[in-house]
Amino acid sequence: MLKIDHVSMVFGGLTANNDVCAEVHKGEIFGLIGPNGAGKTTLFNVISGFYKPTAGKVIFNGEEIQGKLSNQIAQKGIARTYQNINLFKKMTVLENVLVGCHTQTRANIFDAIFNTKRSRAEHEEAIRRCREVLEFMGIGHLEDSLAGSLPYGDQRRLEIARALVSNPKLLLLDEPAAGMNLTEKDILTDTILKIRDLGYTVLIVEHNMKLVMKVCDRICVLNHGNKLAEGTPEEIQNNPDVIKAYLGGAK
Amino acid sequence: MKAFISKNKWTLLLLIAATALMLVLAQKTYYALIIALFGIYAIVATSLDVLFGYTGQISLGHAGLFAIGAYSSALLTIKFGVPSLLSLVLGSAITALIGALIAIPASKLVKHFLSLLMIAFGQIIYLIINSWTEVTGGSLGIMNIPYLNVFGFEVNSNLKGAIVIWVILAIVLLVKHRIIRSRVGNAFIAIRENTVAARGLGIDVQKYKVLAFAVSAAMTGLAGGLYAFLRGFISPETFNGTQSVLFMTMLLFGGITTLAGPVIGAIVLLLFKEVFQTFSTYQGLIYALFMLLVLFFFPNGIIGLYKSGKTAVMKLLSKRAEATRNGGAENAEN
Repeated sequence: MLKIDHVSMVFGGLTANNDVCAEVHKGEIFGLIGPNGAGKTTLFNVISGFYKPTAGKVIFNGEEIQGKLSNQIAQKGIARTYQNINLFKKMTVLENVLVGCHTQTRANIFDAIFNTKRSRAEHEEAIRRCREVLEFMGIGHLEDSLAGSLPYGDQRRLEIARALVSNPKLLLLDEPAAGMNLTEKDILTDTILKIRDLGYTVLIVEHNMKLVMKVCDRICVLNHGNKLAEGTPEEIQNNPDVIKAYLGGAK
Repeated sequence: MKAFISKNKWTLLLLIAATALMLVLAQKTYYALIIALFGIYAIVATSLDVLFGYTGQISLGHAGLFAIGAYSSALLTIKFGVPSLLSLVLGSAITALIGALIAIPASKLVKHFLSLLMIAFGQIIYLIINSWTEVTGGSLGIMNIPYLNVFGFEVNSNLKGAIVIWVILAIVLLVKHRIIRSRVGNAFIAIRENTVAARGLGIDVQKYKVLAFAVSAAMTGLAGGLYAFLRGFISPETFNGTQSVLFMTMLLFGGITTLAGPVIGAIVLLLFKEVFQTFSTYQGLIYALFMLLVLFFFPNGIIGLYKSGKTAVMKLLSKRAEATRNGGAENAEN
């Protein structure tokens, strides 16, 4: 479904990604891990169109998407969350998720001005779907709160809801568990598994190993911009190179 | 409908009272003119709210767009004999088109760069209408613009003008309301709140910024056309840079992202301008004071002040009610 083909990303003299190859299959949860500064978020930004890779291709459903604008990539069905929360703080929870429906709805300025039947029906359908997703994420009761006033964990959940509501073919989660407490992390683990069971494909960057090992079908490990290993959670846990990268040189 | 009425009964009562008062005052032709101008400036301030309040794009060049609306409507009727109502609509469309064209480069700029560009735009339009004498009449302007004719109803007095303009203002407010709560409006607000996230959700940021400019320009152009037909005379002095600052002050003073805010701001500032006409040399200074007042003491404008006042009173009342209840309970125990 998503093929990362020899992608390199160089910032001035810093190589953030060096000739990385990976492939995400439909319906799986694919983990991207690595020590700090390994280039995980950079790779995410390349996939979602925030960066144009220095070299290499990103192929999504048979189409090259590298270097396209992030809004075009979103239109193709890739939705993402952010490591540093990027919500619309002064909009309500429901409004945030409604913006997430942007690619799924069509109403233009004239539909809005004349309040056409088509646009009203579309709007009602969008709201229904938003409530459904908020309920699924466990924040349905907060729909009228301002997004900026939510506790941290709920803001993370709202970001996932906003991405999920667009029915993405591929969902990118950038450190979804960052800043969450243990209970919240357990709930999140279940939620991610449920999202996969609904038929979504998920690509996740996460530092919390417990979560990663529990949810991922396959994992790719990056270190200093290079791909170090790829495999199932068991294979990764027993890979000497990975252990070395995480714990320092084994004697 | 019933729920809407009972929820907004004070606002509605106030509206009815204001309408009645204005109709009474408008019997005097000078007052009627002022009331008509309230409406025109309220449309402009509303249009700025769409652009600045909701989409976060600042413009200090709206006097330029106002001028384009006024001159194109007037010239279409005088030079080409286009019926006045059609000229009004075409003038608005032309302004929207020019607004969209300027927005294509402008939408790539943010904050002070954008405001500089829009100031320059306003100045360019001002210079064009001042110097292109054969078409615009130069500094003398255009005289004897015919009355607006709305399907046979000739708007030949200030009173009629005031009524027609306030009806149009109501339509503009309805249009604004509908746009804002639609998918398009959500995209506008999303761009203002977080451009990166908006783009990541598939919103074509540039397209929507251009659209916001076009909508705002269409409204301002309409107001410009109404101004030309109401006054029967236009000259460059109505469209200088100070006017752009006045528009922005009206919006900020009234309160952004509300329906009533720009209308109230327009009325207050225009009243102020009329009452202190003798100090017209110091206009810029007075607007600056108004703006500082807003920025320091009530950043959400008059409407924000009203809302926070209402919340404070409610809090006080509920506190008092609670105190009475607690006091009552204590008394009962004793």
